Formats: sequence, C-alpha cells, structure tokens
Amino acid sequence: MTLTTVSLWITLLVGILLSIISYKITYNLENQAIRLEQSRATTLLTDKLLLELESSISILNGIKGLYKASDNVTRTEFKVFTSDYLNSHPAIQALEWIPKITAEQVQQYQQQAIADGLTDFRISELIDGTISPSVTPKPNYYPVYYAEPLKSNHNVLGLDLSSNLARRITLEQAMHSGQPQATASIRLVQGDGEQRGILFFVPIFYASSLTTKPPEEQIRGFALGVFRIADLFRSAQLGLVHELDGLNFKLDDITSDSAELLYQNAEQMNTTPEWTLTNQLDVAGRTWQLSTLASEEYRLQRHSLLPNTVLFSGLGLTLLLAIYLRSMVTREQDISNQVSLRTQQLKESEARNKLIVDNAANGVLAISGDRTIMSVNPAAERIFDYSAEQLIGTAIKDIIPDLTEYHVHSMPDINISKTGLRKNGSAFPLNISLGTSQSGAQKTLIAIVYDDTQRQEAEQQLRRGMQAAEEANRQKSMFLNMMSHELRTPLTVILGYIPLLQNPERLPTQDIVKQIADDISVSGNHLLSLIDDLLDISKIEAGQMALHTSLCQVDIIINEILQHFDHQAKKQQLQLINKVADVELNVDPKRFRQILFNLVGNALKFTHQGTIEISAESHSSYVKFSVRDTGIGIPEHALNTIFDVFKQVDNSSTRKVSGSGLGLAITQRLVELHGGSLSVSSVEAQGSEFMFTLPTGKE
Amino acid sequence: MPHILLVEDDEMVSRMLHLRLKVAGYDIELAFNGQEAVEKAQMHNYDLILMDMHMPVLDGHEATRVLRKNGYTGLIIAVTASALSQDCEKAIRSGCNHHIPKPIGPNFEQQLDNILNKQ
Repeated sequence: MTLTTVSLWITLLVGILLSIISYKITYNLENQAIRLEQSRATTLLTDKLLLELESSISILNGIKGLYKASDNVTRTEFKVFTSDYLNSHPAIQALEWIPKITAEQVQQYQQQAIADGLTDFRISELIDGTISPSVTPKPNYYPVYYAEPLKSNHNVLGLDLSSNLARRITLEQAMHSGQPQATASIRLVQGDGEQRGILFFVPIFYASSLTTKPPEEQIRGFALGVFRIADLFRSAQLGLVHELDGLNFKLDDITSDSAELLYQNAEQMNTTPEWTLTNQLDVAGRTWQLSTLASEEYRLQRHSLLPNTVLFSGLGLTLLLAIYLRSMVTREQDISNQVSLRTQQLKESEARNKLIVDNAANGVLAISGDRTIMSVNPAAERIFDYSAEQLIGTAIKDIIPDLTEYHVHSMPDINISKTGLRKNGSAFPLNISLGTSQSGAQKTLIAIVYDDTQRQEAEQQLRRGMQAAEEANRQKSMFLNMMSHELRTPLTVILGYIPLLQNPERLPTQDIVKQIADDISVSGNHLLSLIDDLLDISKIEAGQMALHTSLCQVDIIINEILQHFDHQAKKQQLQLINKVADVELNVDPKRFRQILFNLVGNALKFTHQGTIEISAESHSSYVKFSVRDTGIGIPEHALNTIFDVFKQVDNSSTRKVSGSGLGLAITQRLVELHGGSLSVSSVEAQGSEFMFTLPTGKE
Repeated sequence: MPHILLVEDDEMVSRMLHLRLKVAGYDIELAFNGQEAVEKAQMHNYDLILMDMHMPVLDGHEATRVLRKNGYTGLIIAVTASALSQDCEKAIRSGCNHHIPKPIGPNFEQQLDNILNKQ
C-alpha cells in the first residue's frame, strides 16, 4: 500500500468522522433549542394552568363576596350568580354552597329545601364511595345545600362532606387557615363515578365574628368548586396547540410523600429524564408538579434538516474529496506507469538504435566540441583499423586530416569526400557526412563515414570499361569505313571499265581489252578475298569455324605457297627462303595454307628489300614455325594490338598498303583453333618475325 | 579539249579512269600521289583536277589545301571511296569544288562536262 493510498483512506476516515461530529454538534444545538422550546411550552402551560386555577378560585371568592354581601342568599340568587361562570368555565363540574349546619338546624334546612322544590332533600353521607342517608347524629353537618348546575349534581345535594375523610381534612384545613384549600385528586360522585376531580374549599366566616373564637364557631360555610382536572387542562391548553403539539405532560400532586397522578395526556408516559421538564406550582395549599416529556414525535417535528444536511453534505464532500484524491492517485499512478513505460520504450529504442549503429556498414563517430572522438561503432573500427579504445579520445584530425572547421560549420554537408588515415598510416578515400546533436549546452558532432575505396575503384573500372567499349565502337566504325573503301576500290575498277565494253561498235583495241580483262580479274579476285576474310572472321567470331584436319606434309604446302608468291617477290626483288624440311602434321590443309598465305603476304607487303625466311623447329609436342622478314617492322606501341580485329597499324588516308586488316586476326584465330599460338617480335626498320606453334598430337 | 590532271594512287583505278577519259576525248595528265599533283598543278594550268583523297605520301585533302594556299583557283573535284559523308564535307572544306563518289557511274563523263560547262 503506497503512501498516497494511505492518505486517501485517512482523508476518508477523517472526513466521515468530521461529518459525524458536525452532525452531532448540529443535532445537539437543535436539541438545546428544542429543550428551550419545551421549557417555554412547559412554563406557558404552567402559567395557563395557574391562571385557570386562580380564575376558578376567584369564582369561589366571588361566591364568598356574595355571601358577605347578603346574610341570606337564596337558591335562586345562587343559581343566577353562578350561571355565567358555569357557562364560561367548562371545567367546573359544580359550584356549591356548603353551609355549616348544627343538628338543630337540620330540620329547618330540610323544610327550606322542600320549599325550594327539592322534595327528596335529606342529609346523606359518603361511605366507601356510596351515598346513603345519614344515620349517625353529629353536632355539625357540612351538607351540599346549593349545587349548580343542579341537573348534573342532583345526587350530591344533602351530602355531608365531613362524612368523607379526604373532603373533611381539606374542609378543616380551609377552615383553620382561612385560605382556599384544594383536595387531592378524588373520584367524583357525580356522573359515572369514574371521573376524577379536585374540590376547592373557600371558607366563609361570619362577618362579625371575633378572632378569639375558634374557627368552628365562626365558620358560616364554604364555597365549593368541583373541577374536572381533564377539562381544566383542556382549557389551559387552549391557545397553546402549536406549542404543545407532540408534547406529553402529566400533573402530579406531590403534597404528600407519594406522588399522586392528577392527569396525563398520554396513556403511557415514558420517563426519559433527558427530555423531561418539571415545574412545581402551589395551588390552594397543595403542591403540584407539572412534567412535560418531549416525545420523539415532538422532537422530530422540531428538528430541521440541518443536521442531516450537515451530515450528508459532509459525507458527500468527503466522498468527492476521496474521489478527487483517488483520481489524483490514479493519475499519479498512470503517470508513473507511463513514465516507466516510456522509460522501457526508450531503453528498447536505445537498444534498437545501438543495434542499428553497431551493425551499420557505415562508420559512426560521435565527436565532442573540442573535436575529439567520444564514441565509435564497430564499422568505424574496421574502416580505420583502430580499436574503439584507441579511437576514443583521439582528435578527429588524426584520422581525417583534411576535415576542416569550415566543413564542420557549413553543416549539414552531405557526403564530403575526404581522406582517411588507417592505423598503418595508409590513406584511403572516404565519404563523410556530418550532423549535430544538441544535448543541453553540449553540441555533439555525428560523423557518418564510409570507405570509398571500393566504390572509387569500381567507378574507375566502369570508366575504363566504358572507354574500352567506346574505343571498340570507334574502331568498328573505322573498320567499316576502311572496309567500305577497300571494297569500293576493286568495284570502282570493275564497274568503271564496263561502259567501255558496252558498245560493240566502239570497242577499244584488243591490247586494251586484254588489259581491261586482266584488271577486272585481279579486282574481282581481290574482292573475293576480302569477302572471304570477312566471312572467315565472322565465322570465327561466331564460333562456327570447323577444321577438317588430316595428316599433311606441311613442307610441301609451304613450298607451294612460296611458289605462288614467287612472281611478286621477284618483282619486289625479294628473296623467299624455305628452311622447312619434312614435317608431317595433323592440320586442316586449307587453313594451314591460309595461315602461311597471310603471314607471307603480309611480309611481302611490308618488306621492300632483303629476305623472307620460313623455318620450323620440331619439339616433342609441337612444331614452332617462323616467318621472318627484313621489312619496315612494327612500332612497339602497335605490337599489342596487331592481332585485334578491325585494327590496322596505319589506318590513315596516306596508308600505302591495302587489305582488309583482318589477316592477322584471322591467322591468330586459325592457329588457336589448331591448338597453337601466334606471337610476334619486331624491331622497327629492321624486320619482323611471326612465330606460331602447332601441336604434333604426340605427347 | 579540256585538260585534266588525274590524281590516283591505285594503279588499276588510274588506268581505268585514264582510259575512260581518253575515250571521252579529254587531254589527261597523271599523278600518283598528292605531292606529285601539287608539283604538276603549279606548273600547268588544268581545266580540271580529279583528286583521289586516300593516297600515300600526301593525301588529297592536304594536296588540295596546299594548292589553294598557293593560290590555285582551278576546278578540283574529289573522287572519294569513303562511305562516310563527313569525308565528303572534309573534301569541300579542304578546298574541293565538287565531289564524285566511287565507284563512278556510266555518266561520269557527263558529270565532268556539266561541271566544266558551268564554269
């Protein structure tokens, strides 16, 4: 796990934690606000309740005032006085007048009641929740004498309140304190007997009474209010609907040690101390405690979306941050991956480049700014015949002396021809192209070098070949020109004579006709020999010359040839000498004759005085023949080319001798066809000697 | 009777031309190389010189050039056996007035008459 991943998780955790804490703080702040509201609602409810109670007590005080104002309040007067209050205070079950009646007065009160229309009026007592006629004689009675509204309180008329303990205690407390007193929650005897209520006793004393007398004697009666607690609460809640919505509350009477539930608005009231508020209120000698409990519903209603908003915004932000961080991490990883990928690619590319450079046929040299060699490839080592270690650090001038700074600066120079020096000091032509590689401030020179020796040699060879071909072509043209000239000369003679012979009436004299015939004959034969030569050489060149060999007495053939030339030799005053005696060889007689004919004919052409001598030397496997003359000889420069086809030593327009110029070429090929060889030696102005060998066939 | 110098190294060609021209009625003088031709032309005034171009000692081109250089203004006709047209042009450049190729035709004499008559 990388550091970045750890930081990602930490960010996530811290973000969630902060979100939760923020949620809690917001939630608690809201709870405080809710509690404040609850507290306010509780206070309001308490105040309203107190107001209701005070208002109730004030009604009783009103009744008290009524009695103070009149010694004799009639039932009708009471009814009229209370009717308004009853209408406006629905929590009042009853407003009653409880007079103190002595035993002697009972009769009088009963009669008065009957007189008021209440025929069934009699003193009754409450024992174990049941009302029954009073049987026990008592010095004083505290019966319900007036009760309004009468209809719903009819059954309590005549009930002696001192017959019931709870009522009597309160009654006595009120009497002794002179203050209004309330009972604890008691079950009301009116209605279905299930409803609970509170009785308020307000003592009414005789106006003229002395304080020294005991209150039992001064008391005239009590104004009694019966209140239904539930309805009391109902009135108290009026106008507080919103404030109390969802709020559970209960009222306990905590006057005694054991708390007594007076009222609660929910069937079950969970005691959550955190959300329970209490207010104590002193009501007519009793201590009540109002408790409110903010129910979950109440709290939910009053909670805003803020805590959740805070929580989810926080979580959302955290998530966004985490995603962002993760994308950063991913990006960082991507970049790192890419960097490593690129690095790998770069390495591969470098290795590939090195492979290319190392295997290149051209030398590659890296040269530093001070013109020393930094690195070389194997080809450069080969070209300069140095090892890489020897080359590195060497000045480039040492191996390419004529590479100047001009070349370096006028880059990029493509393929400059320079001279290189090998280790052994030998110079060789090389081709160099320069390029720069800028790496930071360092300017490296890259030289690509190749050894130009072979190329230059090949070029020279090509040039020589071309020159030879051009020369051959030129010679061929010259040969054709010369051949044309040679052929035209005899033709000129033949064709030129023809018109002289075409007119039979004007023929020349017989002597002249004979001369013409001789000239035409010689010309024709000359023409034939030229054509023969051409045919021969083309046959030989085409490899179609076939020999028809037989065993020949060659000395005889030589004699015949010399006889053929005898006439011409005599004319030129030349001596022909045959030194060949009795040689028998397997030759093509026609071609052997042609060889000698050509050689002797040539000798005659180029010899103007002296001798032409033919000799033969027998060796074990060959016979060496020689035709030697004392003629003009052959210039040294021409000796090499005289056997070439199309070559005449003198092909100028002042050439003295005529002929195809093919004779020697044909002769040499014929000798070679026989398996021998032809050679020449000559001294200019002294003579030439042509020698040829022919194999005997005997090894 | 036109007076003609025939310059030709080949014995048989010379003989043939000599015969043809003699039959045609020309007055012929012979020379066998350029040198001889130059010498003769400077001594006599010919109506026409028939000049072979390929000759030993001094060829026709050179002989013509020498003659022209020396102020010879007479007609010189090159008679050439060369197959190359450049040799004909070379003859004209050397100073020849016309050229007739070898082998000569049956109307050779007519050609000469035409050239002479134009003069």
